[in-house]
Amino acid sequence: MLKQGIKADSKENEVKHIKKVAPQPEKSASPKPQVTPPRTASGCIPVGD
Amino acid sequence: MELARKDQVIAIRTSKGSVVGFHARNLEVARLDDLAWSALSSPSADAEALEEIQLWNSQVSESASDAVLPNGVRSFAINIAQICNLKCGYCAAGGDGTFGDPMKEADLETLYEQIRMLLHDVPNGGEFKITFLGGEPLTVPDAIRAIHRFAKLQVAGRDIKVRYDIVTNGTLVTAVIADLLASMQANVTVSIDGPPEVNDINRPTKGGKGSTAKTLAGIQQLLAVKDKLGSLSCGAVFGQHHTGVMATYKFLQPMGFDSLRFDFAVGDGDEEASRKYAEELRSVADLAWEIGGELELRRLSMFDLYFRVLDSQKRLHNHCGAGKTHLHSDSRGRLTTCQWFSGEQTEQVGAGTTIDHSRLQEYADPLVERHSCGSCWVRHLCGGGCMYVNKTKKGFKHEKDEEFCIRTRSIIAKGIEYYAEARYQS
Repeated sequence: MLKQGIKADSKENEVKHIKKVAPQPEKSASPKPQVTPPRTASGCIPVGD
Repeated sequence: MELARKDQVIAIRTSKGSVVGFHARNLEVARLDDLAWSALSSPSADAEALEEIQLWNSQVSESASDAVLPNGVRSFAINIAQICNLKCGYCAAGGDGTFGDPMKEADLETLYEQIRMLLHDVPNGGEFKITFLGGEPLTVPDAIRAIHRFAKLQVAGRDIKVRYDIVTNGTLVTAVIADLLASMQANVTVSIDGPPEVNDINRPTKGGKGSTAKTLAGIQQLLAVKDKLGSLSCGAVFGQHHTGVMATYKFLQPMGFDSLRFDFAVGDGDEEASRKYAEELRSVADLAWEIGGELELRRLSMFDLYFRVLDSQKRLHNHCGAGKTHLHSDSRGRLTTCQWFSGEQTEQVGAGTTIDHSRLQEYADPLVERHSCGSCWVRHLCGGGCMYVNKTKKGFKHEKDEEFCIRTRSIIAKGIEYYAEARYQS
């Protein structure tokens, strides 16, 4: 990660203290095992069973 | 676990000593060094580390965006019966699965009309979910079969995928019923609270006997058709009656479920139990990670959700779709926005095929706004909390239960810790 507006080859401006991790959407896209449906669709605790 | 914060940037000092950073708006996760931690947590900060924190705080990610709900109802839960063969101590369905109005079987004609109406509004290429609840839904397998057949006919020739979920106590699952659920590719959740010494007390039969042996036999039937099911999950309920999350996990972990749901049933004066539950759940996360890393951790449904949100970088604005994408019908066809509100006349938003749209309008605002989540740092992973929890604890759907927030933040912090580890490794 580089400071905003700083060229990538400007070594003294490299961020030293924060290392962002890269999201991996493909790891959350597999249909199986299919886990709890997204809560934005419904979700939460059913009752009475 | 310690936390420090500067506006959008939160630092989590984990129990292992590492520091993980989280940007609440950008949904970004990072590893921080000790100087960055100090920059957030002490006044005598390292200037360079502080500058980096300030810069991160001010950044607006182009990768993160808002999760958008589908326009219209895409999820319909039905009490296919309002009787149950068990009498669980914590049952929120009137204490006996009836919601105070026993119905051996739902009014199928009304349900058909409701399903026809809702499916009519689903566009081609869309999905629709029908969830069978109760009571115990498997007291009426023929009704489930009939609904399945009806929905299939309704979408014949249209490009609409209908999914089926069912939540069952598992005690009535025979080979025939397992085949029925397999033929529907149903997502099956079996309710079981842990080992027999716990489950038999929490979830006795109406006659007061333990139900665990029957539930385990039902699970075996389901495991035999697991490859044909959409998914097979278990659901355990914790609360003041039961906080032994670790013992439950150890009992259920080897059974071969795709997913484990560990939920908390709220009640007055539940602070101590809530914190014990969250503490045990965090320990379970540690153990799951030790056993099988990301895959095993994500079998715990809430951690899977957090990983999905962080991977997609879609900000949640709703904890659920109640009243927006989700409706519920009780056995008489009375509509509420959520199964938890079933039987409450004041929460009714319609009946049969008549929907009171002015009442639904009350649910239109995003829950993070409606519940005044403001700058809460987990707002876009939590989505604003649960209206039923609020109502149970505070008497009003939109007044936040602070204990829910405390519990949720502590569990999400653990999820972020392991997300950083999982994605840093790879």
